[in-house]
Amino acid sequence: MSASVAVIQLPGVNCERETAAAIEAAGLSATVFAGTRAPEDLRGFDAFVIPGGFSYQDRVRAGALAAKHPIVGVLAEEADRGKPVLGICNGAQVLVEAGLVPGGAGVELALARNRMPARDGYYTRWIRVRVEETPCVFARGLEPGLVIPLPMAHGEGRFVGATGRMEALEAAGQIPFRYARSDGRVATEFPDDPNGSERAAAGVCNARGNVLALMPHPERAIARDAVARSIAGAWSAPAPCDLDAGAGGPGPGLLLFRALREHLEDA
Amino acid sequence: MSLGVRVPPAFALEELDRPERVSESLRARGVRLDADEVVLLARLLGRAPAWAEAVLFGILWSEHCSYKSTRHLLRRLPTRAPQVVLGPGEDAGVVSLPAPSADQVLVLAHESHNHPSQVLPVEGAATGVGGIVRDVACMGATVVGVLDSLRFGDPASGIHVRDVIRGVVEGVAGYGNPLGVPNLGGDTVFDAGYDRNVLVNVMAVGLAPADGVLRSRVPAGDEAWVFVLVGKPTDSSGFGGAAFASDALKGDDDRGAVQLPDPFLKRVLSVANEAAFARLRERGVRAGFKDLGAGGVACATSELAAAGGRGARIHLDRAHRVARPLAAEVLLCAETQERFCWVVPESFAAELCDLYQREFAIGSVYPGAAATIIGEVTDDGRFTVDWSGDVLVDCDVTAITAGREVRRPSRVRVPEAPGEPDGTAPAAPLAARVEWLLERLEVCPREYLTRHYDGEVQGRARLRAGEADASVIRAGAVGAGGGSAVSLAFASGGHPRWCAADPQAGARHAVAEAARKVAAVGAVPWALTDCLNYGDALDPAVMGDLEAGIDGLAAAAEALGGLAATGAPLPFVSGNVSLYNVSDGVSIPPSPIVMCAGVIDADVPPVPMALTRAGDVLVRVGAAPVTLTGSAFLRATAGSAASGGAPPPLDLEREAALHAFAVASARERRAAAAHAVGDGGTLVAIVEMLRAGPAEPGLGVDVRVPGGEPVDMTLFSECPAIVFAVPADRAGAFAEDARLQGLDAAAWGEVTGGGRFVVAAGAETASWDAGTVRAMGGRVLERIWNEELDS
Repeated sequence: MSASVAVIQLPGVNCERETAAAIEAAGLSATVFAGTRAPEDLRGFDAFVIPGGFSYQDRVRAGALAAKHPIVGVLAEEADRGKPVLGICNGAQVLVEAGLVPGGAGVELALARNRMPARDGYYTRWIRVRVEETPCVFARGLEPGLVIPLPMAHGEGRFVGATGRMEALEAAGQIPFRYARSDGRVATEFPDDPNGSERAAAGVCNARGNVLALMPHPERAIARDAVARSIAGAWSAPAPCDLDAGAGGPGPGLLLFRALREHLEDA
Repeated sequence: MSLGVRVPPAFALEELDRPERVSESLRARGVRLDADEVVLLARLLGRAPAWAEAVLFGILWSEHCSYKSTRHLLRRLPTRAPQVVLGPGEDAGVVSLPAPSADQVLVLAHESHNHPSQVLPVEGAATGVGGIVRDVACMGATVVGVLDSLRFGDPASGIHVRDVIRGVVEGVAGYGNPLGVPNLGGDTVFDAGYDRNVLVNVMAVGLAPADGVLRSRVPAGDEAWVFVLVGKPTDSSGFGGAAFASDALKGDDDRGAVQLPDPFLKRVLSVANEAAFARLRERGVRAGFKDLGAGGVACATSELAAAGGRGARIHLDRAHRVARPLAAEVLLCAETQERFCWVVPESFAAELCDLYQREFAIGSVYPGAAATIIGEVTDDGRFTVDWSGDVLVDCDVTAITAGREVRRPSRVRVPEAPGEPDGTAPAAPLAARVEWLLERLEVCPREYLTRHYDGEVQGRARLRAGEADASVIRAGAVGAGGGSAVSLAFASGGHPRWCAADPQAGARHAVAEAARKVAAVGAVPWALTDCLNYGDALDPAVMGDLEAGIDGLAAAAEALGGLAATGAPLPFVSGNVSLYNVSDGVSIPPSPIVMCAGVIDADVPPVPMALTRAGDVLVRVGAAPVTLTGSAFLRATAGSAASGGAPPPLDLEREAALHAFAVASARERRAAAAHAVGDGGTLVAIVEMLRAGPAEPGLGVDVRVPGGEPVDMTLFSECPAIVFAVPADRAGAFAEDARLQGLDAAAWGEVTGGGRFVVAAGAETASWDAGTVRAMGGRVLERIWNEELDS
């Protein structure tokens, strides 16, 4: 039987279905777990995903209210036992607000408003992330330097920490995914770096590597023919006249969920 | 039943000998009933109406709800075709889908939120999205996309236009993004004709199980049926919104008539609704469902009852509402957002309320949100509302549905003649002419605005806005691969300048444009929705334009439905009319806006517009570029006040052949890309194709313009056509096949790997770095958005 993953559905979350579908596409079993259920019921799952959306209407700060939910307390305990936890977009904001990322020392980071030239607020685009040397289970088996196109869609995705903190996390392999240019080098400018994140961080994990806060949306990139037409290279969507019937194949976002599956199969 | 003593009538029967005076005095108290309507209402009731009744009928007979000025004209639109499950009449239209998706139906709706968006742009646009999403959801559907067609004023006209632009975009984004419904594009036009009257048209699309469509009526059957009101507690927001939307904007403070949106509650309600749909199917329980819009509780419950041929008794005291006191007519008719009304068997009602209140805890999501039983279905054919021991409303349901029809005088006008270059434009080199056109507001990319919108939530996206002429989503289960389900394409059309020059021909173009964009991605044009946005209905010239517009829509729809069903029209399945878009006596340009939905076979890859392969040949197929009339180029060269003349000719038979050719090309995987010629003409279309592709591999284009002088006509003509990118070894046969279908076809050069954009036209040439051309016009909207202006 395949390992089971809970997709946490707090009020205002809006990516639960495609996230569950992505998990299933990787060969795992997914359950959308309603926030009105007893948090203790979560203990039986092997891994957890907090999907994207606008939990609690982004009141106070994005993710701030959900971070206080008893469910997140249970996730923290299960994460301490080594179970994987992935927060995507608003889910990443929840994990940072709850102090699960980078973990161990309370709330150390913030996901601040995007910093973008001549614009403000919510922004959507396909960007690229580069895999770094890391213990993160969601990058398991992915070569450092590999470049993966993913869509981003957020208004507050700029990782910031106290002076030197993000540099230290980078050195510890806790920034597994960084915004990158098409040539594979780390992005230094908008829009390759869409939000001005410190160290061009797209995702930050805990020291053990089992909890990841990731701003882009891998669950929206499960099929190769869904890749944006602005993306060239290995992951580019095939032109219609090049495509054999029914072909298309797996998309770049599936790599992260497959990494989770490999990890769970070994665990 | 007699009326309670404490409810005074809205007027005394004796006053009816001067109905104009009654009408005026009601209007002064906020109820808009014309003199003849005052008389009619008293006759229908057989007595003087109670105050709440006057309020209710003022809303029911508003233009917004009753279509009284247009109902007889709308019958001219074709609405029947084999794929139509449910045509216009309910909140949304429904069409069937072909195998392997025949177990699903497609639900479509289209509305305007023009007046509110002018007054309060953020809230107006947001509630526009919210309302149209409810219209689709209440058919038992999952809403899988929204589109918006925006008609803004000229940003050069001043700060107020720019505030509206920013507000509307923020409203669409601020509601749609949290709701979790992807934005599938639409179109944005800037024209000084909208300086005081913005148009915000919103379309929503949904998928429902073929056997699970809910109707907005009491189901047949002997069960004891009850009404369950679900959602936000009723407050006074949006009270009078329908009447507000049926009048000219006067500059008064009308902001109280604009509804207040809450996408957070709506998201939770949407998830709960879908759980309720599933529960009903599982149990085999029948139900009726309707969203609350204009007229609130009164309209929703009375229409549910009337549509089922039954009566209703509503106990208003039971409705959940905000704590502060509300006047009874406000509670009855306010347009508070995020509410729905169910009709379910009494035996199921408690379970339904429990689903919303306990499983989805809507009361903890929004204070006071609830699900409550507010009344029951009766057999007496009457609609009654009681409140604190009084009877507020007591009338025959047939009075509610009687509807109103008003024949307004109309005057047909002579369309403008075709425009031609008058020779006054200063001679400029080809490169300058191209650069200058690409920087024009009407031609520049809309990307700065659309990057505010989430186009990918739900994980169904196959082609996003800006990547193809139509947005394409998968109809199948989320996450399923291609091949297992059809894909769906959506695009909109409507050109204000063309409709202003020739209301009939402009409307034909609106249908053809929307269907052409859908066909360009390889989708069979399947169904249409429309919104007729016009000015002051009391102006005979406006009514003449409206009538001509409807005739134009009908003519094009009759001609372009053959790909879905041989011999059948392309059916209009849902629509809306928005009149009185007028300020200080100045009406907007005639603005019919059309959405076309299309269906792509399960095993056919949709065709993007992006150029991605060096060596591909560009083939322009359609009507030959034989005139500049109506073109952006002509308007630009003739000065800003110029209309550009009549729209280009549109041969509907050839247009149908073009759609058939594009769909066949997609099925046979002959093309790498396709893009319809639009504002700016063929050269601009080629630039847009380059821009849609990746920047990195250094692709360029060698454009070799066929034919001789005058080159501007060939380059910038907006005669209808599609530019295809075709593998070089197949390009000759491709063009030849198009000609066999009676279409003009010509090669326009090729995609290169050289990173240059080169144009050779007649004796002229121009050349740029491809990156330079891609960037042209890219800062226009960014500058307008960020520029500080004094008010």
